[in-house]
Amino acid sequence: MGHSLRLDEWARGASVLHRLDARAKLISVLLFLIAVSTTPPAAPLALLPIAALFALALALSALPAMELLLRTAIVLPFPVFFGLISWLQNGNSSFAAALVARSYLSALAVALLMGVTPLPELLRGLRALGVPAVLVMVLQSLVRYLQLVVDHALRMRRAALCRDAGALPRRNRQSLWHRASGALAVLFGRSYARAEGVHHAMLARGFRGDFVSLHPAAFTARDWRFLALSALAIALARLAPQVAP
Amino acid sequence: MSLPVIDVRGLQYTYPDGTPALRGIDFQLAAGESVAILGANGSGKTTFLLHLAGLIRGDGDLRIGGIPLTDDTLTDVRGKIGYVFQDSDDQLFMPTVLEDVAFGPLHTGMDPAESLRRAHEIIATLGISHLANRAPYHLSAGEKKRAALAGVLVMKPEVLVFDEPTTFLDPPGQNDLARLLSALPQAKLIATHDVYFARRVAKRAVFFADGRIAGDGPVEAVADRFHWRLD
Amino acid sequence: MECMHIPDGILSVPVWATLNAAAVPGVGWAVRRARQGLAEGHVPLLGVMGAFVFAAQRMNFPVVFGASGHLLGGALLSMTLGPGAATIVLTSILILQSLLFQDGGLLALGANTVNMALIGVWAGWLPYRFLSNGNLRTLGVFAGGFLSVLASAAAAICELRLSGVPMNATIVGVSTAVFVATAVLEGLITVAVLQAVERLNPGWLRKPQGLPSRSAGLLATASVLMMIGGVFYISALPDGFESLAARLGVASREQILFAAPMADYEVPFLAGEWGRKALGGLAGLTIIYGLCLTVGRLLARQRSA
Ligand SMILES: Nc1ncnc2c1ncn2[C@@H]1O[C@H](COP(=O)(O)OP(=O)(O)OP(=O)(O)O)[C@@H](O)[C@H]1O
Ligand SMILES: [Mg+2]
Repeated sequence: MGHSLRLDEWARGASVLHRLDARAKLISVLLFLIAVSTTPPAAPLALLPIAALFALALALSALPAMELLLRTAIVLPFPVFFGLISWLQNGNSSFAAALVARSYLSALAVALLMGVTPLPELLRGLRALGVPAVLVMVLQSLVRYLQLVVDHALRMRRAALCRDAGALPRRNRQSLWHRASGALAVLFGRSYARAEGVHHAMLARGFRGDFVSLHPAAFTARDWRFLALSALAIALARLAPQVAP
Repeated sequence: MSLPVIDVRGLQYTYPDGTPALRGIDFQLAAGESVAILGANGSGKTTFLLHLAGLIRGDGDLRIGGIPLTDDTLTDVRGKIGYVFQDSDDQLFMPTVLEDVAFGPLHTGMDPAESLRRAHEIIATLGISHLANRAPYHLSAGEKKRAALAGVLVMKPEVLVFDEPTTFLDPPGQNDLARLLSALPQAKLIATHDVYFARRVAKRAVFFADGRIAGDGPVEAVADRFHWRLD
Repeated sequence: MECMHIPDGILSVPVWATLNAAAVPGVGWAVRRARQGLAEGHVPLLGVMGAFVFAAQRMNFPVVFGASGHLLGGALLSMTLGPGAATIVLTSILILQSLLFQDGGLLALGANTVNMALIGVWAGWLPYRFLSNGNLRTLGVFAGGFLSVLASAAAAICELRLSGVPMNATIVGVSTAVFVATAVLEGLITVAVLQAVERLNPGWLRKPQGLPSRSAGLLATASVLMMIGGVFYISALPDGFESLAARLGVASREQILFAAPMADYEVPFLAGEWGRKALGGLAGLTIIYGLCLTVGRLLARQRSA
């Protein structure tokens, strides 16, 4: 959870990228991901210009670069695993390298997006881009109650550990299972009660079953410029290796 | 004499699991009046308050601001009642304080720009403008209570209903809240276990016991009669 | 690897584009279904239950030698909230995991949603749906948890193979063993938690309507199992998917999966393989976006009607 908290903290910054509309940033990240995904796996070096673009964006964001690079490395095991397999099997090292590089670069782009965009703004942007209101609202309440419910679960676990400090034989697997499933059931019930309370609060404040969203701030000329520029830069970075040799 | 803002006659309610919670409540609240609700755990205070906002529907006669509560008047009645829930986390369900405060106006037909303007205005009067873009999870209990109150006041209700508003508040927080409440002109109904707090925000108290109102009168007199004090 | 959240950069363009295009109507349909229950306060419930699943994944169940596992939750949610609602909750979880933790890619979101929020949820629901009223009920719950994990994993393996990620019999064998173990554990945890939930309040369980049909349940379970088995088997063959494609009379596997409407369309200066791929990807995204908007509009019209 630490990773997401850190991103959340970064998102409150004030760089050029922070000030852009969430929709502009989201769309250019999607373009970036498509560019990464379409580089031929046989030529991992073709990723270099795109990686340079990412570096530029990272510099513009004024986020602690090293920390972002390190934190995002948690995504590496998956592509490294499959990269290794293909290397061992076919001796195809460039495919393996491409797999790892593309995954890492893609994850970095998403991490950067979240580091310069507060999640509530991004969700509002999603709504404005046409994602159904119900889904956005579920996302919002999930985010809102995530920490609360997780904290509750951790407190319950701590309480359970305190109660049987040494009293319960560690081997007694059956009763440990019993305890864990009981705790989850209680947590399930608590979540139900929490949802009912929230629903009451919504009704009491005039909710009648249809969600209305606050419009996100207008899409300004600056956002259009950014979108056009980034699309152009991504296309060029993607094309360059094709033309150069 | 003007009509009471809240007029309840013969209200009864049993939870679906068979727990009888209210066994015949008669209660009137005059415009601008503040009344504290005292009573043991499980005596039906919360259940009673939930009825006032039409969140639970029992048997009996309920009028809010002169309007009888029925399916058709539910929306109007909810507009007159400002309900501050015991758990602020239930109430602050939007990602940021400002969006939360704007939720009510936005969902009762006001346009987004006007909703935002009113939200800004109300958080300024409550002195929490600096919290506008904060996530509710990270607020202190006192800040949460204020934010929840802002979300209620923005609807311009005629009656304010509080369920144990001092839960989780430290003594300075309780003092703040008491001052804030006394300064609000609306009629108020406050369920609380704290007689001292009750005395600061209300003159009259009703005492709930077993789903009935067992006593009604000045706060001190009610507290004395039911020995409702710490030793 | 137990949840197989596929990151970006692994799946080939046709695969992720197709699956995004498939996920949108699937989730849109679930959203529409859930709307019917909105009066009962579904939306906050779905959000809080998503938070519950996150929390539940931190509660350890001891297995052997100090190792432990945890609930994944797809089957449990489908048995308590119903499959439509479970799809929405899991989709939301996947969206947040990919945004906040970069756990699973953004372009791969469609693939992960299809695997876990659609296939996983429905494979978990099926046995419960048909067996939950009889004396085979516990078996139905176990089978639900078991199948939901195994079917998701099979779908993920299938997508990786189609994207040209090489695997041989050993790797498929080892990962199948891991998946089966995870699936058994999920089945057992789902049984334990569901029983505990039912003891607290039987009303929290979905009661499937219609006649219980034991034979239909066993048949459905068996056929899902066979499909999964088939996928693992084909994956293990050296050129399993390629030869399958050839036998179907399709030369390139990309053509079967993604019959792009612009396959013959070439912008002169964007010529070449990658240009087509980029266009295909863009077209895929545009289609998805269009579908989103259309579904949204339809919902809005339905609501105002
Ligand atoms: N959702 C529910 N389902 C069933 N019974 C309930 C429910 N909520 C409350 N009750 C029962 O109804 C009775 C009245 O409860 P209520 O919450 O109104 O009391 P209260 O006076 O607010 O108590 P407290 O001071 O503890 O808040 C109690 O016996 C309680 O157990
Ligand atoms: Mg109460």
